[in-house]
Formats: sequence, structure tokens, C-alpha cells
Amino acid sequence: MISSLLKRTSFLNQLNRSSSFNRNYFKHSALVRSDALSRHVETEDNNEHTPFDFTQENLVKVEKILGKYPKQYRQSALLPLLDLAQRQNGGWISLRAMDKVAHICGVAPMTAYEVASFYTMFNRTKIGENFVQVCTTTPCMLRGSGEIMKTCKSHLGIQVGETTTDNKFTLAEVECLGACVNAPMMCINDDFYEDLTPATTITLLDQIKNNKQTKIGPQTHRKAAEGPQGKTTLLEPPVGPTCRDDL
Amino acid sequence: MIIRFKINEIECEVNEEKEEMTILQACTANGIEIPRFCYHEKLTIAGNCRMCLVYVTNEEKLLAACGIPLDENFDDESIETEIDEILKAREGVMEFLLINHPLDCPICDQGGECDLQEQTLAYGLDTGRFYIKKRAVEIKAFGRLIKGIMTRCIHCTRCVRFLTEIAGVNELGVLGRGYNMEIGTYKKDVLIESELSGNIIDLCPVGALTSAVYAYKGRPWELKNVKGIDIFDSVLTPINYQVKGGEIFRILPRINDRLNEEWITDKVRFHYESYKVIEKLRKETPSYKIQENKYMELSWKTALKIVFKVLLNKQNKVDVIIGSKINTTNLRIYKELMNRLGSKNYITENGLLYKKFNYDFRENYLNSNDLYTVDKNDLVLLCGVNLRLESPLLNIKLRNINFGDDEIETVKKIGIIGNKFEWKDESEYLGSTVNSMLKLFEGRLQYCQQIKKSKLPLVIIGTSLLTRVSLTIQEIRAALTKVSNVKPENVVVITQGANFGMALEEGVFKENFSKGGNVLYSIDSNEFKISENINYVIYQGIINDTFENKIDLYLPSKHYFEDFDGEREVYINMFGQRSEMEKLKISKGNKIKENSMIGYIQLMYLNNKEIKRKEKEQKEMEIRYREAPERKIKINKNITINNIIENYYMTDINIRLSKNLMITGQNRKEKKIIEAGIWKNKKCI
Amino acid sequence: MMNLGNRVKSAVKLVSTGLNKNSQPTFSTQVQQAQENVRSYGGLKDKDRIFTNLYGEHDVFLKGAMARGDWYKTKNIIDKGKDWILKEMMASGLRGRGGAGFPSGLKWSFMPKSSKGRPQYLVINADEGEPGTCKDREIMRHDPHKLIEGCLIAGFAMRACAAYIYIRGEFHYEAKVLEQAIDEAYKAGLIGENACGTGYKFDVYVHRGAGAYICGEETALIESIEGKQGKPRLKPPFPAMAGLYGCPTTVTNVETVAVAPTILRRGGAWFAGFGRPKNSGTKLYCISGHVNNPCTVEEEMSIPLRELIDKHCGGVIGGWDNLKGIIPGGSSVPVLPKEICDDVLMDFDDLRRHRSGLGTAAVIVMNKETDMIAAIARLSKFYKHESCGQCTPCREGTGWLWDITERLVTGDAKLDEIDMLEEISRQIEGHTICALGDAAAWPVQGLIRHFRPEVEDRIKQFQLNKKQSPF
Repeated sequence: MISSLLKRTSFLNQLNRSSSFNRNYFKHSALVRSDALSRHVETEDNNEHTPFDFTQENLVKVEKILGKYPKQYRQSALLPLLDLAQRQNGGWISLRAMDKVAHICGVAPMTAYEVASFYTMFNRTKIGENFVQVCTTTPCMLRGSGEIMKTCKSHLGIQVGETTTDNKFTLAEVECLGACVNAPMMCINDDFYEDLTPATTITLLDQIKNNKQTKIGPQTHRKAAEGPQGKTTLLEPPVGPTCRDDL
Repeated sequence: MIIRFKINEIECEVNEEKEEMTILQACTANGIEIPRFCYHEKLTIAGNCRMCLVYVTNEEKLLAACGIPLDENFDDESIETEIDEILKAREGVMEFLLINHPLDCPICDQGGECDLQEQTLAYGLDTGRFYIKKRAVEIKAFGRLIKGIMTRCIHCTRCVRFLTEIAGVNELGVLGRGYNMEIGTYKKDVLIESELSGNIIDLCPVGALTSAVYAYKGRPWELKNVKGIDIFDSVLTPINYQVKGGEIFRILPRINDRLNEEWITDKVRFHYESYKVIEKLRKETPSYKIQENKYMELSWKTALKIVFKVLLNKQNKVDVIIGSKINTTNLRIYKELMNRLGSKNYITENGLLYKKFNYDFRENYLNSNDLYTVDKNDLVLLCGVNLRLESPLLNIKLRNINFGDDEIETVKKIGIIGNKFEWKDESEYLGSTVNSMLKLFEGRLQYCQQIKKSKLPLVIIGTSLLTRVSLTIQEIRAALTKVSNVKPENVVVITQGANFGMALEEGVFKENFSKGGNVLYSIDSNEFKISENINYVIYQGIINDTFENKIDLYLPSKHYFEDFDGEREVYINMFGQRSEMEKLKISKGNKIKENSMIGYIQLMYLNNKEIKRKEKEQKEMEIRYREAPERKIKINKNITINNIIENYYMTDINIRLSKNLMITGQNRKEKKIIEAGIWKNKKCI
Repeated sequence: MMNLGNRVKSAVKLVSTGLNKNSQPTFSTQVQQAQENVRSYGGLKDKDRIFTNLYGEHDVFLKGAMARGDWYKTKNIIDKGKDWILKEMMASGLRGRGGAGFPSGLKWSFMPKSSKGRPQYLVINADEGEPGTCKDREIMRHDPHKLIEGCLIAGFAMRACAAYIYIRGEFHYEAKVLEQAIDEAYKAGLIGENACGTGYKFDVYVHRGAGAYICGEETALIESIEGKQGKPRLKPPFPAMAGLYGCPTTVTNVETVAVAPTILRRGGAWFAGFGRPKNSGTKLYCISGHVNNPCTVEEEMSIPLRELIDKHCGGVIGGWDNLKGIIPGGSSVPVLPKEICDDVLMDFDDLRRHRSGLGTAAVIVMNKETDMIAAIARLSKFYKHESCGQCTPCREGTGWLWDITERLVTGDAKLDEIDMLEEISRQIEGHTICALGDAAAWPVQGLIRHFRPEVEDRIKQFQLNKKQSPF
């Protein structure tokens, strides 16, 4: 009787940690990353009154972008213009920026909010100077992206979704970035850093922190998608222009 | 060409040129039921609930019946809706809908009329196998009229499509992606600022959007339907009161394809709260004012004696104002009464004071064009009217205008004279004074060339223009026809007041109404300011809040929906169409009399012949257009044409006494809507 | 050429040996004949390769491209006419390289012949989001002029007036290179008002995406170019009738269009000479995972999988016998266990026979160190994150699938949940608007079909270690 009671109390201590589906005593919804928020978070830098306007040189780019699409379909320019606003604003879009872009494209602000919350590359909350995105999908996972993630977390001292205290790095875990042959890899701001090992990751992050120049692309001796043991095809120089006879 | 196909071994055929049908419409027409959540006849096709899957021969996948048009590819195909594969598919989709749906049926207002409940019973599994955490979404605030418990949402997007396509406000949107998808307004505390926002409560198939005024009050199987009419504007849309035990619980629309399709405005949907308040506040016996705030109760005999003493006194000049809810019988009685009393000074409440307004001809106060065929028009001119505030249901129809194909057109299709507002990208603002109107008649505006280019232009005129210009409608029609290619039947006059047309039919409209009397006799009318000359007020009606303390004699009477003999009463709207309503008894005091009874008693007191009440069969009015007689006109050019309605939510006492509507109105007023037009949205495939 | 050599050899052997008394082949010679008549695939020669700058060793831009043979006699090709181009493409047997494998010549011929006032568009799908795939990246950053020339020729064949190249947002450098190449082509007069001097007006624009895998689906891509959320549309109507801005559109993959000029220059029959019948041509394969030499190579279709991995990728880490399973075509196709991988050919039909698919030819190799369940669970998480949320089975079902597969990683489940998992995946498959529902369901089905014992062992192990709940 007492022993069974003791068993029960120790079991109750483990309640919150185990996830078996029979033990649904304490309910809470899952934690959600900032790119998955479907509503606006009012902060001091991002509310209805923080102003936003394009700079003069960006306005020239705006005209160029609008010229790519037919004149009565200016809504097509929403995605490029939101990207331009994000770059001007330091990596994230504020509420007024979305309103301004919607006004340029001639659509209601709600359309801009819908589009900005659908795509993952639009950050609607503030991020650090360098946005570190580590790919953890299956091809990278097989080559050890878990280790890279651990290294980033421990070296930067933050968890996924957080920013360092000096506002230099924000860490995020993303889906397949399209460089599976050079796995494991990560993307910082716009640049791909591939073929990582825990040691090279640490060197890379330190270089960025100290504002030194980094080597973009594979961090090993590779140049592109040829194998690390060397090319097996295209060993001969390319053939010049050839054509069949009846052309 | 005629397409022949089979549904469940029944042979059917469809004529492709006459009507374009989808499989779902063909099945419903043949009596075969296909379950659905996201499909609605008046909205565009979304196809995202996947409940309407059917099997078509020689196709690998099951197809969604709501989105497949019946065209040439469908000749000789056979459609199955009851085979095993489809039953299993329906069970699967039903299961997916229910895994994240909260177990709220006992506390959900939609229980009993919920699409999800009915379709689970008919097409779903009987056990569940999902025992892990469900997702939860925070409750969203949409104002005091709509409750949004968004955990229950099944993302059918009917509300989003309605608000963007039909109501024209882009307040709700689909945010996020995948599992975290939510429907909401992106910012907090954004109210849905549309006059038709209550319709999303009807559209939502589950209990995610419910009426906050009706919350937790009743279940649909207890309520009984009583027919009614929307008396707050002159379109007179038919509604249903849902009643239990002599108390109105909520108001729902009745379907009428020509007038309102399935929508009703917010005002009429939520105003029934005022009836309870009125019952408490009103006096139920005739009362006479002794001092400030002190009233003495009288009997009817004494009260009517006082009335006649005042009315027959030759030194008194009496202004009689008849309210906008009074029906035809009463109008006739009171006109007769006033004539017998020798007074010619009476008018209905929405006082259009024309000096020489020729109401002998029907085309001057009724319209033959009820905007049902507005898709044949390709240009609209709005003169002195704000359709969004005056009649939102007609405003919806303007979106069907043939705006032209997707070429870049520099012709703006909507011209606006009057208070400034915009239809985005499609409107051209022509001026705010009467001067612009005159320029239009003379053809001096640049916009007149565009009117000439268009094939079938439409002109909509409102009362705010007519009160400032002393032209009759006949003359306006003639002027427009002379200048451009506007035909007389394409000039529509939007009037105010539910009984405006009926009153003019009865002749309750004299040429000279001179204010300046010292006695005011108001028959259930509240919406005007008392002038300073008046020193004696007789009020016959229900309750009054505009000249509360000045009433000297109060005669209680009944609401408009119990104010007639017999079971049914008919009202005529400004297009000549009739709407029917049934009797609904609310007033409980036994000293409260109907308006007609009061009128009869007064007439009998005057020892006159009893008028036999005739029930006239009122059909759709025939309207012929005559030429306007010549006369000299003096018009002041510089008057600005302002909106006749300033705040949509303050136009009637029944709305002012409904708490939720009044707070909504105050919130709107503070935000000061500048744009009163609505966005244009293209229909997507 | 290789064809001919083998055939001659076998012919000689037949003549020298093996006729019986009635001068007909004996049984043993018939067997010999059968064995020798089987052609072996693989071993593509460098001069037959189309993408000669795959690794970026030579000049990427116009000068280098022209030296390698791009933009050579383009005017003559266009002058031959649209019907000739379509006929050659159909003769070449090129099948769509974006994953679906629909015959390209047939697809290009669906566009309307006469325009009713509406312009027609060509849209290039460079949204390479499938896990394992990285081939279009190489084309765009090292050989962009093949793509631009292909756009012009394909656009001309379809009567298109402009091409929109939709690049995924993460490919920032590739988009810059492509834009620079397009500017060069405009300056040299190769596209634009008078493309290559033929009088045909053709424009090429680059549109960058913003991070959504679902935008790789054709109608979702069209919606994304139109500036809305990337949610797929209902089909019918098909994009060839009503696509971008309501006009007839064709959506093709980068590789399909980039190989078109070379096919036309060297002949459709040359291209059809590679690979088995109905699976003809060359393909870019991206091999990743547990191999010694992960790389992108261009090889002939119908190459045996084993030869591909042994010859070009240095073999599986730990030897071929250390192999556990291979996903042959990107994450959307079911996984194949080692027994099947021993002799399967890499083409559309053979893989479909083994209940998998070629997809984008992104080979993910997993050896015995892999936790297969964790790999598939991560793929389920990918599909849950990338589902657009429009239709009910995908939105709710992918979340439920991920939850169950996560618990299967630790074994925290019941034994009959495996059958429930398969049934749920059947409920999603086929009932969705687009193919992401199928793509989410297939890996799970592949796991249960081939690796069921492992899953059951994991569950039993967990139940031995943890105590049962008293409730």
C-alpha cells in the first residue's frame, strides 16, 4: 500500500516530462516561433506609430520592380517590395512598412499582412544583425546537422529563436535550403556556408562577430557540387559550339 | 450544346449555353445531397473543405464537386456519389475536421443548427481515435456584435470571402500557414467596420462566429418564426423574428433574390434588445404634464377631449408630422381626420419639402429599376447619395457593374457628386456643390463625354440633393435625358423612410408645408428638432427621446408590427414591391391602443361617417414617364450637398435604445470614417 | 555510338557459334543472345554531357557560354518554326524533370494555337525546395545562359510573350548571377525587342520567392507571382487555359527548359538514344547522405543505382553491405530497402514498378547507422511545416502524422498505432487539392511497408524500459 503510493508520487513527478497519450492531465499549447505568429505583437519599435518610408535610391528600385509586371496587376510586386522594405529596415518588416507597401501596390493592408505572415522569410519581429539559419532536414541530418546546431547553441549561448544579448546573432532552425550535396550547412543573412564541421562553425561565428571577412560557400577545399574526393565527370575540356547539319 | 450525363444512374441533361452549372448544383437540382462546408451559392468557389468529393468515371482521383464545371468534357460521363470509396473519403475528412475541434457543443450557441453536427451524424465515424493535444487559438474581439471563438473555426473561409467580395471591407484575412493558420484581423482590437458584418454569423457553419447579443439565450428548436419587415430604410427587406413566449430572441433574414438575397443589415439584426427596454421605460396610459417631469394619468376620453380642444382652437396653428413606420390604413385615416379638421398642414417624417413637387404621377416617387440588372450598366453616377449608409443592400449590387475587361481603362466608371468619398481606383469626384449638378445638366462637365461614350449609364439620386435643389424628379430626369444618353428609367431616386411611397400614394403630402406653427402633433415620429415657436406638443406613439420633457400630452399606441387588424399587413417599398409581415404581440398594457383605433375614435367624435376600411390589392406599380411641364426655376448654386445620414447607428430610436448597437455607433463616430465607399475586388477563378 | 559497338559484337558471336541442325539458334545460344542483347546504361561520355560547366570552373557569363556552344545558331532554330520545334521535342522523349515526369513535348503543345487577345506566358519553376534536390542551383549559377536560351526557344514554341523565372528566396546569389546574365543577354540583343534578329519579342524576368516549399507546385507558383499567398488552385481549369493573370501559361522546371536548346541542336533522336525507351535522355543526379563523395553528376537515365553510387560517389560509407535504405527521388517518394536497391534502374518506369518514383532524382543514401524512423519523422515535420493549410486533410493530417511518427522515434506508442498511421496516410492521399498530401503520405507508407519490424522492435523496447501507466 505505502509502496504503491510511493510509486505513484514518483510517477506524478514525471508527468510533465513524458508524452504518452494517456497522460493528458496538464494541457498547454505548444510554444510557437515568431515567424509562426499570426498576429501583431505591439512593442515600442513596432506599433502603429513607428514611421517607415523608402529611401530615395530605393524608390528608384521600386519603380524598376513595378515595371516588370503588367500595369493593372501591381499586386505582383508585393513580394519583391516587402523584401526591399525588409532589407532597408535591417532584416525585419514593421507594421507601417507593410501598410506602405500595400499602398504602393494598390491593395488593402490586410492583403499585405496575409502575404507577409504566409512566407517564412519575412520576419515581423526584430532580429539581430546576423540571422543564423541552420538546416536540419533529413539530408543534412544524416551528415550531422544536429552537432552543428548544438555547437551554435553552446557557442552563442542562446536557444533556437532567441537573440544574443549584444544583438549580433539570432538563431533559427529552418527547412531544406537546397544545398543538400554540401551538407551540413547554414545560411547567415544571404550567404550559404556549407560543408561545416563543429570546428569550422566556431571559427566562422567568431569571424563574423569580429567583423572579419569570411569564405562563402564550402568551408572545406571544395568549390561547388563536385565531390570532396574529386570530380568523376567533366574531366575533358568542354566541346565548342556544335550543331547538326540541317540547321 | 446539351450535355448528357448520369448521376447515380439517373440520367440528366444540362444546356450549357443557358446556365453554367457545376456538378454540385446539378446534384442539388436533382435532389441528391452532397455534404459541403465551404461552398455557398453567393460566394466564389473555394474548394478547400474536401467534403464534396465525387467519383467520375475514368478519373484517377476523386474530384471536388463544387468546382468542376459541366462542359463538353463531361458528355456521357457517369458520376457516382454513394460508392464505398466516397463514403470512406467523407469519413476521413470528417475525422480530420474533428480532431482539432474543441468539445464545446453544450456551451456553443450553434448547437442545434450546426453544419458540423449534422454532417458528422450523417457521414462521420462513430468513434474517435485522437487522444493527444488539440491546438487552441485565442479568442478574437470583433466588436460588441460578433463573438469570435476561433478555436472552433474549421477554416472554410466563408467569412473572409463574404467580407472581401460582398461587403467590401478587408478586415478579416487568413493569416499564417498550415497548422498555425488562423482567421483574424492582424492587429488587436480591430472592429469589423461594415454595416453588413452580422451576416458572417449566418454564414459560419460552426460556432466560431456567433451573435454576442444572442449569446447563451436560447436554442434554435425552441424558437418560432414570425415574419417581419426591416423598417429602417426604404428597401424593406423581409426578415424573420424568432420568438418564444412573446419575446423576440433574434432576427434572421428571409431569402428574396431580388431585394436582399440572403443578407440583412446590422441595424435590423440587433435592434430587438430595445423592445425590452422600451417596455420598462414607456408610459402605458394617456398622460398630461403638470410640471417638469410630473405627469398625470388620464382616461382616454379626457385625453381626446384635450386633443380636440387644441386642434379645433382657431388661434392655434398645428404642425402634424406622421412617423415613417405608419402603415397605409393609418395614413388614410389620419389624412381624413386632418381634412375634416380643416387643417392642410401634415407631412411624413422624412420631410422632403418640395415647393412644387408633382406627386400625382407615380414615377416621381417610385422607381421601376431596382438595381437587379445592374450588370448591364457600365457607368454609374452617384449624385448626393451615400449608398453605403443609406441602403447598404443596394450598395452591394453596385459591385456587379460591368467594369470592363482587364485592359487599362482610363475611364472611371463611377462619378460622385456630393460628400467626398471614393471607390478605390474607379471613381472620379466631380464636385460637392449644386453647381456641379447644374454643370452636369448643361453638359459642361468633362465627365459628360464619358457618359456619352458608355452604352447604358445609371444615375442614382438621393434626398440630400433633392432637399437642396428645388427641382422635381421629373425635371431632373428630363434634363439628364436631354443632355446625354441616360434613359428615364435609369434614374433611380433613393428615398428615406419606410412609408414614403405609401404616403404619397395616399396623398399625405401637400404642396405647402409651412413650419411655424405653435402646436406640434407627432404621430410616432422622433427624428427631427422642434423649432422655437412651438409651445404645445402632443405625442402619440411609443417612446420618445428627442423631445422628452416638452411633451404636454402623451397618447400611448402600439408598435408597427401589431398595429393592424387581421393577421397580415403589406408594405410597399420604393421600387413598388410588396413585403408582408405577420402580427407579433409585444405590448402588454391594456390601455395601449392601436393608432387606427385612436384615429377612428377621433373621427367618430367628430360625428362623421365611419370610413370602411378597404384592403386594396397592391400589385407592382406601373410606371409611365411623362414630360415635365415648363416653369421658371431659381436655384442657389453654392449650397454644398452634405450627407443626410451622419451616423448610421443613430437613425432610429429602436437602435439608440439597443445597447450593443449604440456602443458600436459611438465607436464608429470617434474613428471618423472618411472613406465611405468600398474596395473593388476581382473575382478569381 | 556505344550501341553500335555492342550490337556488332553480339552479331559476330551469333554467326560464329550456336546454330543448330535446322539452322536456328539453340537454347543456350538464345540465352546467350538474351544476355548479350541487354544493353547496359550508365557510362555517359563527357562529350555527350549537356551541362559542361556544372562545377563552375569556366566563365559563367556570356563570353564563356558562347565558347561552350550556347546561343549558337539560335536564329536558325527559331526560323525553323514552332511545329518543327515541338516535333523534335516530342521525338526526343524528354519527360518533365521537375518530379512529375509528364512528356514535355506533349505539355508544350497544350497551349492554345490562336490567342484571343490574351498574352501567353512561360513560367520557369526554379523553386527548388524538395529535400535532397540541389540541381537547379548549379544550372542557374554556373550555366545561366542555357536557361535563358531555353526560355526563348520554349517561349517561341508556345507563342509566349514573356517568361517569368521564379527563384526561391533563399537563393540570393543565384538570383544575382541570373539577373546579370539576363542583362547581358538584353544588351547583346539576344532577348528583348528583336530576339536574336528574328523579329520575335520576348522578355525574361526574375521573380524571387520568399520561403515556401508549397510554391513549387504549379498553380501555387502562379498565385505567388500574382502577389497572393501561395495556395494551390483547383484544377480544372488547367494553367494552359487560365493561368498567370488569367492567361494561358505553362509551368516547367529549369532543367527541362535548359536542355531544350542542346536537344534541338544535336537532334531529338540523339537525346532519345540515351536511356531505356520512354525514359530517354540524361539527367542531373544529386546524391547526398552517407556516401563518401556526395556530388551532383549528369548521367544517363536508367543507370543502375548501384553503379551510380559506386562509380561517382565513392560507394556507401562502410561498403555496399552497410546500406540500409535509399530514397531515390527526393523526400516525396517512398524509401527503398537494400534488397531492391541492388538492381533497380534509375528511371521513371522501373522505380514505379518498385512502388517508388524518380521524382527529382535526388538520391538520399542511408546506411546502417541511421535511425530510419527519425529520418522519416523529420520528413513528416517538414511536410507539416510546409503545408499551406488550405484543405482539411493536409492541414490536420500532416500534423497528426508528425505527432505519431515523433512518438514512434522513442517507441512511445501502441502496436496498433502503426496500422492507424497507415490508414491516416491513406485518408490524406488523393483527397487533397495538390500533391503535397500525397507527398506527405508516401514516406510514411514506405517506412511501414519496408521497415515495419524495426518500428515494432522500437515500441517493444520502450514498453520494456518504461513502467506502464496505472490509468
